[in-house]
Amino acid sequence: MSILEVKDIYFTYPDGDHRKTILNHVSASFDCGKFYTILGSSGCGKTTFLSLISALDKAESGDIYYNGINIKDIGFEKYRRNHVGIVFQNYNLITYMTALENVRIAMGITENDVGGDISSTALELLEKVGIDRTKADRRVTKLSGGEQQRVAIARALSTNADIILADEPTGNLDKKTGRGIVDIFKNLAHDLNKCVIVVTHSEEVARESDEILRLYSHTQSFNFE
Amino acid sequence: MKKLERFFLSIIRRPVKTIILILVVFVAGNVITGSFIIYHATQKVSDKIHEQIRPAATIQTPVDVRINSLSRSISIDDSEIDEYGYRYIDALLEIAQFDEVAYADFGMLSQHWTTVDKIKNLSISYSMLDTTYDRNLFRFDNIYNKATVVGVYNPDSYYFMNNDLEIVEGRFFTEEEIREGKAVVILPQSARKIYPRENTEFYGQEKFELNEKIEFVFRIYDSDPINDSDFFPMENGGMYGEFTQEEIDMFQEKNEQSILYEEVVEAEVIGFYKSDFGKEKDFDIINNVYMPLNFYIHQNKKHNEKVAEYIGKGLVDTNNKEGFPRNYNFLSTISLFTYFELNDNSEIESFVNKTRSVLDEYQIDSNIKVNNDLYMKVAGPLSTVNDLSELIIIVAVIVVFIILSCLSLVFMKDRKKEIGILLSLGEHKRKVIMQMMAEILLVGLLGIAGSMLTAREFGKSLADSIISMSKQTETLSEDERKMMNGMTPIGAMNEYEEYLDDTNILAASSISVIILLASSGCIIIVIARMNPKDILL
Repeated sequence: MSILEVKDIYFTYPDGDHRKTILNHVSASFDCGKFYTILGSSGCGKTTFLSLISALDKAESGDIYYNGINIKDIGFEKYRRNHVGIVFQNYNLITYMTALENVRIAMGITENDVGGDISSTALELLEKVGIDRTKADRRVTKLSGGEQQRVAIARALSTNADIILADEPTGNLDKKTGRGIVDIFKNLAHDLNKCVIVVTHSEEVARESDEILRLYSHTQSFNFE
Repeated sequence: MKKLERFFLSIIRRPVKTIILILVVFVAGNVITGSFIIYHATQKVSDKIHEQIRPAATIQTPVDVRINSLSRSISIDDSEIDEYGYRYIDALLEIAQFDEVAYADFGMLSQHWTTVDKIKNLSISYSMLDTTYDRNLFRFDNIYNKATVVGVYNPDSYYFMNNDLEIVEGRFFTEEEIREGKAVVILPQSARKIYPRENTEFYGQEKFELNEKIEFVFRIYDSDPINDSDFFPMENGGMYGEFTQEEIDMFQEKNEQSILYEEVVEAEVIGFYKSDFGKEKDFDIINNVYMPLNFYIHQNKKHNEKVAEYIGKGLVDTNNKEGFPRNYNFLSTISLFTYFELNDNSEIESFVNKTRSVLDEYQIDSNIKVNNDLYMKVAGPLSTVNDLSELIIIVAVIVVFIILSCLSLVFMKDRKKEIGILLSLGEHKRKVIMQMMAEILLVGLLGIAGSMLTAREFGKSLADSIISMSKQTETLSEDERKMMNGMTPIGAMNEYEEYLDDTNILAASSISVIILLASSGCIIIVIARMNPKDILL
């Protein structure tokens, strides 16, 4: 059974007097241990799709299943709290906190088992994504973009969620740093058996993934490659 | 990360915003708490003044009317004034019989000065006036060198019953003495033989003892007599400068030779009184000789008739305005005070209406003052403070609510992203709302706690500045003082400070907490409407 199954979801945006269809009965399924990229041109509904599978938004019709359970039944907040970790293009870290505190805050919210000593676990996670102890204790505003994105990835991992979702995670980074981030995602999927879904418009990033889902704006539906 | 840690981190790591909020709440707390405690304190004092001021009325005396007339350069003949005075007394006696009146008291004052022979002999040496100023004695034998005679209408006179004047020896008038106008008097203790002021030197040693007779001498002169006080040094009210004792004796002998008519009225000394009031207030009260009103009126009428007789015979020059009043210097009819206590405040209106018609009937041009006028006179500034503090509370509550609501919203907007992040991490909206409100409450409570320490002083200086802006300069008349029942305007003003108690500070601070809670309530709406997707993606 897939860890995440999207069935026939339909989503529209208000556009003047009428509504514009963004996702037209889209279906897909995702497994653990794989690194997926969702590719498509601007405005085709990539980010909308991500917001639906991360339960940040609600589809007008269709269902999303986590481990065979409808996320509506799990509850959107609980689903976000325990089953998905989200990485944003602009990192979305709490600026008055340190890197370590940003990771710990997510660990304090989830109901999953995150290990006995939260600080040590958080430090280990940060180290895994390339943030050493010194940087871990720095306010996130004192870190580079790449480092902030690593902190965001550590935060997404910290809740022990099976699914890691990322919205254009390399969009604000230079090529080299972006490549480092993509490597982390690959490792998360292959080494930690996470289901990693990355929304991107970068073919280069897509090439690194195990599966590419192309979203076409003329049909508003996926084609898998 | 524990919730508490998260909670404190956001407060500590954003010190500027925390300090701004503390300061705003501190100032707001001071304004609200300060106004609240002042409102309550002034309200209590105002209520107390209301309670203490009796349901009473006074009637402005003809002497005031006369002074007002003179200031408009209208001259009233003295004989007219006497006639006016008698009508006035008759009107007062009729008013005193109204059903609404529970108690009436009025005293008549000698219009000019009164010769009291024995008292004259108590004159202080004028050489002593410069060095030993004994107020009691000086007042008794003042620059007019005479005592004031006061006719008393009621045996329960407020002067005595309220301890303005205390009988130190003897007794007050009985009902019978008052009713029948017996020849009895009460003197100030400075006229008492055993008055304990050994260091003061007197010419005469003839002081009075209880039950001794005092003689009131009524004289009509064929020419203007020279008064003893005229020989005082100029700075002490004397008119002619320095005289030798020989010259003074000569003038006195001349005075005695010009006497046309003399009558001696005797009265028994039944008591001596003392008063601290005169020392503080500069009233002539301690210079008074009290006697029953009927005795006073009887003597007054009798001697005025005698004066009229001499004027009729052409023996007295009525055109000599300077000297004329001294020719018949016993008693006249000027009211010292009038005081009518009513059964109830609800009867004031009917009392005023009936009194007005009696005064019209007797053609008396008097003003009636009721206790509400006095209340406004005494409690006016306090009332202003009360009204203003009430207004400040209402305005402050509204303004503070708006300011704090705006501030909360601004802070929320500033933390919108943080809230979005927490929601994207799956945090309950309820918990996020509680955290935000708890932060505002904690910071706000710090401000309120600070304001609790300073609100009393803030409120006091606010009240003091309002009072000083509207402080009355008027002093109370003798009649009004009676109504005040021992309370002084200055005392009433300052009394509010006694009511600045901590209970009110606590109550006012709870109002601030409620406003803080209410204003942070907008956070609930804002966060409830937040969608993390719109914030973060």
